[in-house]
Amino acid sequence: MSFVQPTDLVRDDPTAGVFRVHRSSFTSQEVLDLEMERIFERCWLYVGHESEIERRGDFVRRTIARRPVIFLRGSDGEGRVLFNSCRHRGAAVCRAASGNAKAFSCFYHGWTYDTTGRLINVPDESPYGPCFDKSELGLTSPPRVQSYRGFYFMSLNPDAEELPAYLAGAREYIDRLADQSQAGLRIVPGGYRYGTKANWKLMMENFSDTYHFETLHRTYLKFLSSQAGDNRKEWDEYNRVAVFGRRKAYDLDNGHAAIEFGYPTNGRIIAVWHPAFGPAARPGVEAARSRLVERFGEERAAAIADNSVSVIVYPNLILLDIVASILMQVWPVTPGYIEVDNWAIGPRDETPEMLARRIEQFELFVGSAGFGAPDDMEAVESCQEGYAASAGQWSDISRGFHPQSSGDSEANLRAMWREWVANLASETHGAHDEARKPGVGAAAR
Amino acid sequence: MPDPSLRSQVEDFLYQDAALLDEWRLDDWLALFTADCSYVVPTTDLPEGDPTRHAVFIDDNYERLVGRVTRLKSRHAHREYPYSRTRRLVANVRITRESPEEVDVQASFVIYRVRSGDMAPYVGHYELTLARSEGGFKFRKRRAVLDMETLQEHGAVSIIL
Ligand code: FES
Ligand SMILES: [Fe+2]
Repeated sequence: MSFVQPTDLVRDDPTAGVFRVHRSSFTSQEVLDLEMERIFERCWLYVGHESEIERRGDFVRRTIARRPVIFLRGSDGEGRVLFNSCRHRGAAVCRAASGNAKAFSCFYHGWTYDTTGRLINVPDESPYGPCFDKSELGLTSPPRVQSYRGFYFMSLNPDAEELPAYLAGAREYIDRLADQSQAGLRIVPGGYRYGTKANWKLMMENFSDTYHFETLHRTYLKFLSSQAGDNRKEWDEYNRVAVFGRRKAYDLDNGHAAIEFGYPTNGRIIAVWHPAFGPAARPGVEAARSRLVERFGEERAAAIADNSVSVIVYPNLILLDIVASILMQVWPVTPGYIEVDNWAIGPRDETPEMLARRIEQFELFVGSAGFGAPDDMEAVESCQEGYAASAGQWSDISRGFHPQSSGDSEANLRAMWREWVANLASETHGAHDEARKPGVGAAAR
Repeated sequence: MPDPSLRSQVEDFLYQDAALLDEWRLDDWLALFTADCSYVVPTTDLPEGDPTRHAVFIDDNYERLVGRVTRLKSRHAHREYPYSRTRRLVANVRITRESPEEVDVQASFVIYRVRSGDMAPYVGHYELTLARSEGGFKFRKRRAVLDMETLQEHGAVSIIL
């Protein structure tokens, strides 16, 4: 379907309580082209975490919005993002996936750049003549690179607002994660990268959709229940409340959105014990929680420790702070195919025992061979396939939207979609200028 | 020089393993493991991954392995319901250590998974420790290391490797 206006793709009717997205939003190449131009080339995009570039010269290769980049710490100690393309003819100057380097020497003709991007050596320079100026031929950077609490972002939009302003209400959840440890956070080595035959927005929705949990993931819940041994009844009840109980959706502005469980779902490595962690882990988990109370007082400690949450950091990052803390990033390749990165992230100073539990819980639920994520993948791929059934259909995202409805709400997903449609409709970058700022604490519709 | 008949015994055991998995006879397959077993699959970006310090795809002890099989037998393990078709080729079998109790084995594998109109091969090698028991061998350590750079085509590791 060729759409007339992006605004035709979303029906947002608060009076009737109807919110629908036209399915061509997931299948159309025109839509994806517009998304690349008006979302991925304008928004701030997550690049990496400071712990991945700990020492001077540490680097990681990434592809951000289809651009090959090097995320690195320069010899001056600064975290940086450089485009990984030689200024001479364009070859990749960094060819390893990650590592530590003093300089990047291009393998084609040998132009060499230091870790701040400066061109420092050109073999046989004299034939270039007197106007050749190495200082103008350093590796280039994306127009904007900033970090917030150790999370580095870049934007291809020179006029992008400052990162903290862009992150808006999502900052609160990054803070809660970062405050888990005084020593800082660290990406656990061993990342998952996988393809999925679905549109990127389907995956974003899925990671923030709690409605499917008890239906789709019953084998996971069954496994947890089997782990509880004699306390099975008690923990089944715990899990039931954890999953259904007190979920609340928030619009965090700028397309960011959260769903709070109001409960430590299946335990939280930081710092609510669950039988699945095993009795040996209990003292460590409880001590971690006491430390949070000492540092922040009971109320803030409870927000950090006791509340599982899924946060959309618009457009394509998910912070899933549940039993373990997980970052997921979704990259569109075609309308019906994405590539996804998952990382576990946790306190840099946790004990080997707690790290082992964290890794185990990460693998068990969101792992590519886990007891949850493969089912999510099957579901979103099945939706994508279903879109071939009829080009004219709409998907429904109306839960909790009607003025008289109560209980669960998909307001977090609607917040993402509203920003999406505003971005697509906006010919200039200032898509989210019309104020819509409920902020943290205000449950949205 | 290890006894060449030992290698054929090991090969027979690995072929039996492959056949049980290809036929989805998961309970029979589970009987091939010792109670103190480990089954590990590192991530594609960190083939040397150590499951105590690094995130891996799979880090099962016997209890978790039973959980995995129970899940796969349910019709709610949606990525494998209905089951995919698989075909496992195991080759280049080498005995790297031998004792009266155990045999260490390295072998290469290609596992084709066919489902939903796609075929994706899992390519890699096994690092195995087999316990010798009266009834033949059992897996004490099974580590399947993948050669792919990502799970681009596969999406997940929803089958047993
Ligand atoms: S392309 Fe890099 S030196 Fe020629
Ligand atoms: Fe899910």
